[in-house]
Amino acid sequence: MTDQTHPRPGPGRALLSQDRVAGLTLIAISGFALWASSDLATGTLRFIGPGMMPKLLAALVGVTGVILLVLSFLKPGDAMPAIPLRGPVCVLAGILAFALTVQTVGFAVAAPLLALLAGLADKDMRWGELLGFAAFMTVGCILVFKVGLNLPIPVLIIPGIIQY
Amino acid sequence: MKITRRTLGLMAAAMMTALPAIAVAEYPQRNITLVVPFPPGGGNDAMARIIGDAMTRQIGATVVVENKAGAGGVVGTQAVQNAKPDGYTLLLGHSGTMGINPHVYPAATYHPTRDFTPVGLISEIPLALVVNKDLPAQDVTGLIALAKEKPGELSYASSGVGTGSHMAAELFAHDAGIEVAHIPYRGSGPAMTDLLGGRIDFLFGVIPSSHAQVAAGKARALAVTGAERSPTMPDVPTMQEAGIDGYEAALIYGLLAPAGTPDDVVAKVNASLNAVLADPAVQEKLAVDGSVPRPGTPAEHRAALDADLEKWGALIRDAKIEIH
Amino acid sequence: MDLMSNLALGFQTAMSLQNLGLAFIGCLVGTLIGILPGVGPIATITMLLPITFGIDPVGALIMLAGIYYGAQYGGSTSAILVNIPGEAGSVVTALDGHAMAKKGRAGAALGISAIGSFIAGCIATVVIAALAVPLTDLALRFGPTDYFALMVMGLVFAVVLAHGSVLKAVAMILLGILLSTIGSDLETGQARMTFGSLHLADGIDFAVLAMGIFGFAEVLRNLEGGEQRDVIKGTMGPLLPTRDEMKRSIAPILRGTGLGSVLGMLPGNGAVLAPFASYTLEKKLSKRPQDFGKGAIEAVAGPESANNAGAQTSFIPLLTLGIPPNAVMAIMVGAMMIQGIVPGPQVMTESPTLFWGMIASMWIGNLMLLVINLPMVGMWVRLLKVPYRLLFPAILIFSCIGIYSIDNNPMDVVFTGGFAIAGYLLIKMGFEPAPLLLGFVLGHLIEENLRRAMLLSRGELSTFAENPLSLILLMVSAGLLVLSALPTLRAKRDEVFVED
Repeated sequence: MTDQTHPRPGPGRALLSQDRVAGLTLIAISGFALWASSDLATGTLRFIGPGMMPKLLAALVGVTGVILLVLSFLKPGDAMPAIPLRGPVCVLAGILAFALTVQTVGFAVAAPLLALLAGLADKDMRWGELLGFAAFMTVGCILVFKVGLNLPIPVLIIPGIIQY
Repeated sequence: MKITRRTLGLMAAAMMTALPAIAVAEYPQRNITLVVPFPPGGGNDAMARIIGDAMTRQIGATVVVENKAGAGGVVGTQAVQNAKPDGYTLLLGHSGTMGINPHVYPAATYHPTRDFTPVGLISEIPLALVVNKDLPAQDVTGLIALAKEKPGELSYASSGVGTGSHMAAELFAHDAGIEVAHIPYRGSGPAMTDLLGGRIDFLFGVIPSSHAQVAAGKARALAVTGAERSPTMPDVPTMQEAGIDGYEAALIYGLLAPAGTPDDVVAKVNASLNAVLADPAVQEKLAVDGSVPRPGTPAEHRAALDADLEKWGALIRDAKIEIH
Repeated sequence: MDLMSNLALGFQTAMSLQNLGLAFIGCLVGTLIGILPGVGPIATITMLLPITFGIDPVGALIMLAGIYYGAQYGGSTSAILVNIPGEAGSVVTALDGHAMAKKGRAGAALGISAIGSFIAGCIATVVIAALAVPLTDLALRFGPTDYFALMVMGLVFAVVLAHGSVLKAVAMILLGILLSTIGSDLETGQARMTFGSLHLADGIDFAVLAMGIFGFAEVLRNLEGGEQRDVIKGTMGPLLPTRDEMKRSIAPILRGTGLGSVLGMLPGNGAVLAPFASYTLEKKLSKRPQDFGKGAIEAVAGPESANNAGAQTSFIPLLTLGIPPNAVMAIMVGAMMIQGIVPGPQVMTESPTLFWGMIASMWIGNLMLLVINLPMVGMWVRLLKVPYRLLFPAILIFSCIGIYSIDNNPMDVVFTGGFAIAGYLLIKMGFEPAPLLLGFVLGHLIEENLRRAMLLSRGELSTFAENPLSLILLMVSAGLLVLSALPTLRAKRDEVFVED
């Protein structure tokens, strides 16, 4: 799962080395979880409270974060790879659009919206092809999942006119 | 087997043909949603599907069971509370969600009879007090004596905090004046596993599945919690007969609609429910989970809900059961 | 012997035209729904449960079992093709299965998982028929301390699962367990880290987390372009496993079957560990452990067989005790109750046709899966030839349908999107998502069993040492941990960085 294809900048003295960012992130998560679980009783060994595991784990996550951070200063590490924005932004927009519309307007709108918004993420995208594909996918999914398998997913809701 | 198969076939056939034939101008005109606030596959779900299936053939509209699980039943219950009070959204409610949750979960802000319209009781489910087969106690008195001899050393299992099996045991401990340790499990299956494995001393379980273990010699039943003995285990005394005065802990199940549902709609659903409960085939299916049918009026359901809420509230206050 | 006549009765029941048809439909529909990314066996059975009403009890349960096997195989298919596991077991399949798909060997991965599952299914069926009853009492001796120790061992497997930095893998495991603690506390009912959201009250759904952090994050990575996505379109090689691949897979399949059969019969959901245990075992035994994670066929064959064997033997506690060991079996219990059957030890004696019919239908179900799925392998593989610019919107649409259908809740889709971004960032920081998922899956079991063990022992930690089984398991875990940490330590000394 680690990067096999990204060009490695090689060991260097980058300010934002991968491990340093990783360590800081873990410390941040740990801090957040400790804060979020601060209202939970820790309890004793005999009566382990609801807060013991969350607090213990949050602390341990923090410890691994600190170790990563310290190690990142002791030895050179890979630099943090670049994070392109286009992909995540388009895909996330598509997913959110789907979530917002699927129950209110229906799948017939939500699916093409998702396909089009997310499709923008790819540089090779071609409008005509994408539009046709979105329509094909939507109709196909309605036929298979709604008509064929009878999943309770709303297809099209226009208040007062159609509710399928 | 053959009879069941044939009846089932007939039922299915009736289901197919009855639907389009009946087209009345009044309620119901479309599908009725019966919300089960628990995931599919449990006793609640089974009951809803049995009732829903039978009512579909009775009321002239398809009763669709919808599982809206979450937060110990609070999510589905609140969904019905906020639904349109037109009789097309019904709820399967029981002692857990209606009588216990409002005392237990801060999120359960609803009131069973103020925020809902009681439609009718379905059934009562009494439980059985089951002990590990190697426990020396032979009856309830023996169990109490054992618990008093070793305060805090006996453990009982429940299928989760605030469930019927937890409350029935707390009521027992409270009435008998004993101190026992509560070990909660995720559902009744794992709880029974540890009882059979000898790590748990006793639990309160649904009668038929407890009886299955008892009949196989893997556990022993000391008492049942209903007002009367159970036909499944006629030799087992009720808790009152076993010496716990006034002890009764049966979980009540019923159909509810959102508050403000018109009376004529409620009456219609109630009539359909009662007709379904009179069907021996339905009774037989309900009995699998230990359900004893309790057909009645909406008013009786309302009274039962209020009494249930009060009873568990009093126990939770008196026994100072610590639940957050 | 009794066994033979019982099995004969079972096959007689299961081989009736009606029941064969039901098993076939179950497997087919189960596969079709299960193949939706993110939709695992539980969701599939839940969705399809109503179609079994109105069938007689034996037929209904046979069909449900078929749906279960189908869903499981469908889940493996989406794990291999698009790297989206629908249940815990498929996480392992996704690791090397998807890597194989990228190398153009998707067909081999799908084929070996069907063949491995079939072999595992055949053996597990015999195990159930012959040993179910004696093993039940043995399995009952397993208590919370033993489960705790077993799950700790599972966490050690998670370290082995990772092929990068051990420290980062440990961090991910801890983070996974931390995520699993979100939601209502079992013992007090208190809401933990839910920020007042009822949606979080039951914790994070596995499919939501897995799809976001695994599947969607993978899509985001592929969108960066480069040679990676071209590989999917690359040459295919022979469709099914080659003779050499088969030869390498046989031993892992048998070992996986053994592990799965043993773990599956534990009433405390031991089956969940089976694929992970198999992966760890195969990696330790392999002459080329460095290939694991990059598309080693042994890493698909073993865990898939373990998964299926475990799925099969997890019927044992249900059939002999009436106690469901996991969520899927709980639904089976519900189905039995709707059919008017009280689950319990008496089913075996009072309804022998049901008991033995179900056992026989397990074998038939596995055969059906092979028959249905081998011809479909070609079709699935061709799917990967769709250009990525169109494939990924399709993956997203299928996934969103799947996630939405689990609970009919759009919030789940939103959460998935959030986890996708989180997973993408974690990968950028050099973390691997697999250990996080395993930590998440085992988190509940670890915490609940630990707290239960402490409650039952009234707070005596020595309970773990007094119990021989848990002591052994904990010692094996410690040993495994040292073994997997050693190469890293040595590597550090030599100033060589941990390579994947």
